[in-house]
Amino acid sequence: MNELLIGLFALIGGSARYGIDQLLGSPTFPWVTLLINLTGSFLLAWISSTLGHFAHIPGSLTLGLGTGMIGAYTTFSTFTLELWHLWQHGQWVLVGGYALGSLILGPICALAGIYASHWFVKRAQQKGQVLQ
Amino acid sequence: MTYLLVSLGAAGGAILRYDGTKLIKNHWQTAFPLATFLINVLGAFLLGLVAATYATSGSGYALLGTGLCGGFTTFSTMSFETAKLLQGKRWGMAIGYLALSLVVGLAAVALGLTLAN
Repeated sequence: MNELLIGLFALIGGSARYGIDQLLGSPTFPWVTLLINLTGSFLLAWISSTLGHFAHIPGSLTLGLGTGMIGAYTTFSTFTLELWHLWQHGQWVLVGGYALGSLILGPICALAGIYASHWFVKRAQQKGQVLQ
Repeated sequence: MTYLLVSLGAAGGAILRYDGTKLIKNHWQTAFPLATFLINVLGAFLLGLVAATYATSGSGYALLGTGLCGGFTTFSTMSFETAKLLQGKRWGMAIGYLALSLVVGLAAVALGLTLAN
């Protein structure tokens, strides 16, 4: 059952990644994958840290949105393939910038998502919403 | 049409990631995020095979590369796991996780490309 839900939400995440890549893709620098991976890191951390606090949001929805949609939206394999192509073309500055930029900014975006979630949950508590 | 192929591949990839993660976590319970690491490295290897086999603009690549491997591997979970390691002050493990993912992931994609060529 969880598999069906994850698959359905992954349809959205996967086609969003493809659509954004078609819209903004550039052959010289893989910044679209970087943009997708960084926004996804923020969103996954926010969703995973927030939704469990709300009594009326089922856990399966968190799984669908997080593991399914955002998990399929971001990608690690394309990141490594793009890095390898840059490496083979001797684009050392881009290799370093893309690798370090992704690996440093990714966790920072996730931390930002966690802190944004804390702030959001606190606000909801002050407004008296039903929390677990 | 390409949207359909990509999204179907991504759905299959995400389900395999979910079941693969459960399987690995049932066998090995580690503080190190082993499941995501193994899935990302395996997905990088498979994408190397796919990219060498199909033209990156064709429908084979859309289904198996952008779709399946893209949906199977995940960058956001790696970032979130690293953030939680940092919050737990496991600095060495956080840096080791990222460095290993990068180095082994690059080696895996290169191996896949080489084997298929």
